[in-house]
Amino acid sequence: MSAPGIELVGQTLLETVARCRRRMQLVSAARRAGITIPLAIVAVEVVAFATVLAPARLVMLTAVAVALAAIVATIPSILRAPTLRATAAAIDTRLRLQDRIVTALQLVNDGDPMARLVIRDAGTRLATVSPNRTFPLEAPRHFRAALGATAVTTIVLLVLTSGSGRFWLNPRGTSNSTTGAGAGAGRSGRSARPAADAQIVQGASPPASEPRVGTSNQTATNREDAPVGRESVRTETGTAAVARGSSAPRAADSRADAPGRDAGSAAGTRDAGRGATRFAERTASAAGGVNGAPASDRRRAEGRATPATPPVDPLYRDQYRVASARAQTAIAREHVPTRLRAYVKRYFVAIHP
Amino acid sequence: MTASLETVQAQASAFRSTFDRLKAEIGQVFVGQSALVDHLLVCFFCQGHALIEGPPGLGKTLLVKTLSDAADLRFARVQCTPDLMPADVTGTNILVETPGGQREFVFQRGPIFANIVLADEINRATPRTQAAFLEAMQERRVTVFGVTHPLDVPFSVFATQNPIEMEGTYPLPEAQLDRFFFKLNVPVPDVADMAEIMARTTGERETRVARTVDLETVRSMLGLIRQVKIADGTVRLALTLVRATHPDAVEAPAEVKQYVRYGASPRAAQAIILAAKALALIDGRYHVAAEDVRRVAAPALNHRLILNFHGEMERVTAASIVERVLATSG
Repeated sequence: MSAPGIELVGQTLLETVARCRRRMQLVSAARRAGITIPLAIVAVEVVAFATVLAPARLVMLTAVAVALAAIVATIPSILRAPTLRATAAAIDTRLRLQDRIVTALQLVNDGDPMARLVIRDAGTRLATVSPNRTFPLEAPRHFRAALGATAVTTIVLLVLTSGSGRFWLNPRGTSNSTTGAGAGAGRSGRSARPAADAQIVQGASPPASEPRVGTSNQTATNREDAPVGRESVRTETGTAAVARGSSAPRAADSRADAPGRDAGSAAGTRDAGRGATRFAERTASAAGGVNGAPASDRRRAEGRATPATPPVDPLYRDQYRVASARAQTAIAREHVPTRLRAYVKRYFVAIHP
Repeated sequence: MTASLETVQAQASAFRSTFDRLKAEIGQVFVGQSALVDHLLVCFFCQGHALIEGPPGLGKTLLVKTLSDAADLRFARVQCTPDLMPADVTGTNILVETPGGQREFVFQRGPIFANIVLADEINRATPRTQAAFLEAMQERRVTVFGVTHPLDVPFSVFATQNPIEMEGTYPLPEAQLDRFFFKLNVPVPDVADMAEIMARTTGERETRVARTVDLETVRSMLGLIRQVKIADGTVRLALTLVRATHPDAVEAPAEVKQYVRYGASPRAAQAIILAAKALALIDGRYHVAAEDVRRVAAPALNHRLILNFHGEMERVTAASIVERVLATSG
C-alpha cells in the first residue's frame, strides 16, 4: 500500500473512531436516561399524590420531568465526552482487537514502516466495524430496579386513588388540601359514598364523621344500651334524632358552633337537628353563597337500611343537586382558597342524600 | 516507502517462521514445556540472559544445548564449581613464542566468547567467578589485563541452578540476579510428557536436531524486535506492574506491602517491554498488546523481588506476589 493510501487509511481510522465516540456519547446518555427518567416519573407521581394534581397537570408535569431527566442524562455525556484514545481503547476492548486501534491512533502521524503497518492493520480491522453494532444501546445496570420502582409507585398510587378519585376532586386542576375527609378516605383506601353529584362529592367519605356521630349522640342521649358498630350507631343516632326532635340540638349546637370542627362534627350535629342545619347554612354561604340543605334531617334517612328510617325526600335530593351544582360552579368560577373549597366539599359530602 | 513496508513485513514473517522452526526443532528433543521454550526463545531473540531453575534431571542443560544446535551458533558450556576461576570463564593472556623467536602475551578467549553460554549450576561458583560473568552479561565485553574484548553477537548466557541443594553454594547476589532478563522455572513434566521422554530416550531411535537458522539470519532478526510499536497506555501498564512490586508505592497491593523488601528495578520494565514486543511479532502483530505484557511479566519479575523476613518465614513465593500484582494492576 502506498503512502497516500496509508494516509487515507489513517484518516478513515480517525473518522471511524470519531463516529464511535459520538455513538458512545449517545449510549452513555441513554444509559443514564434509563435511570433518570424512571426516577423523574416516580418523583412526579409522589408530588402528584401529595398535592393532588389534575390529570392534565399531571401529564404536563410528567412530560416536563421526563424532558428534564433526559437533559440531565445528556449533559454529562457532553461535558465528559470520551477522548479519541479512550474511544479507541473501548473499541479494542469490545472487538478484542488487542490494542490495535489505540496503538494505530497514536501512530497516525508516524512515518515509520512498522507504524504504517500498524495503521494498515487497524484500518483493515475497522473497515467493517459499525459503531451501532459495536456500541449497542444497552439497559443500565439498575434499569430493572428503576422500572420496577416506577411500576410499583404507579400501581400503589392508582390503588390509593382509584377509590376516592383524588385527581378528579379539583376540576380546575389546582392543588387541594391534603387534610380533611377526602384525603383521609383516599389514603386509607375507603371507598367514597356513591353520589349522584359525582364531581363535588366523589372522593369524600363520611367515615371520619361517623364515630363522632355515634359518640356524640351516645353522650347526648346517654344511652347505655347503644349497639356496637358504626352503622348501627348511625342508625340509632338517626332514629334518635328523628324521634326525639329537639332533645339533642343543644349538644349538637355546641359541637357545631365550636371553632375548628371538621366535617365529622358537622355531620354529627347535622343529624341532631336544626343546629346542624344552621351550621351547614353558615358554612355553605361562607364557601360561596351556596344554600345549605334545610332538610338535612330528612336526607339522612335515605341512606339507612333501618326500616324505621323514613325514605329520602325527592325534594331534598333535588335541592341537593341544585345546591351542589351551584357550589361547584361557584368554586370553579371564583377564586376560593383551597382550605375553604375543601370545606365546602366536605359539607356536601356530609349532607349527601 | 512501499519497499520498506514490504521489507518489514517480510522480516516479520521470517521472524515468525524462524521462531516456529526453532521451537519445532527443540520440540524434537525437549518434550513438552511449550511456555518454557517460548520464553527461552524470546529471551534469546531479545538478547537477554536467562536463569533456569529446576531440580536435577529435568533437561535444563539439554534445552539450552538443543537451542544452540538448532540455531547453528557457537555454544560453550561452563560447569561451575567452587574452584572455577574468572579466567576460566573470560580467558586470559598466555605467553607464546612468535615465529620470530620473540615471546609475547596473547589473549586466549574463554568460553564466554561463544554465542550461547551455558553456566551450569552457576550458584556453585564463587562470587568472584560469578562477578566475571557480571561484566560480560551486562556490558557484552570482557576486560582482561586492561584490554577490552567485545563479545560476539548474538550473545546470551543461560545459567542454571538447583533450588534444592543449597549447601556449598553461593547464592547469586541481587545485583547479578537483576541482570538476568528472565528467570524460568522448569516444572516436573506430566505423565504424558514423561512417557514421551521415555520413548525417545530409552529406545533405539536417536533424535537429531537440524540446523534451521544460521548466524546471519539470527542477527537480522535481532533489530526487528525493537521496531515493534507499543502504545503509551501499554507502556504505562508495564511500568505500573513494576511500580506495584515496591512496598512503598501506592500501586502496591497489600501482599507486596507486607512481604516484599525491595521491588523490581527499571531493568524489569525494559525486559517486559522488549519481551512483549517479541511476543507481538511471534503473534503476527506489529504492535504490543496488553496481554503480551501480562504474559511476560511473571518471568521478568519473579527473580527481581526480594522478600522480607515475614515473607520468608511464611514461605511466600515471589511468583505468588507477582500473580497478585498482575491481578490488581491495570
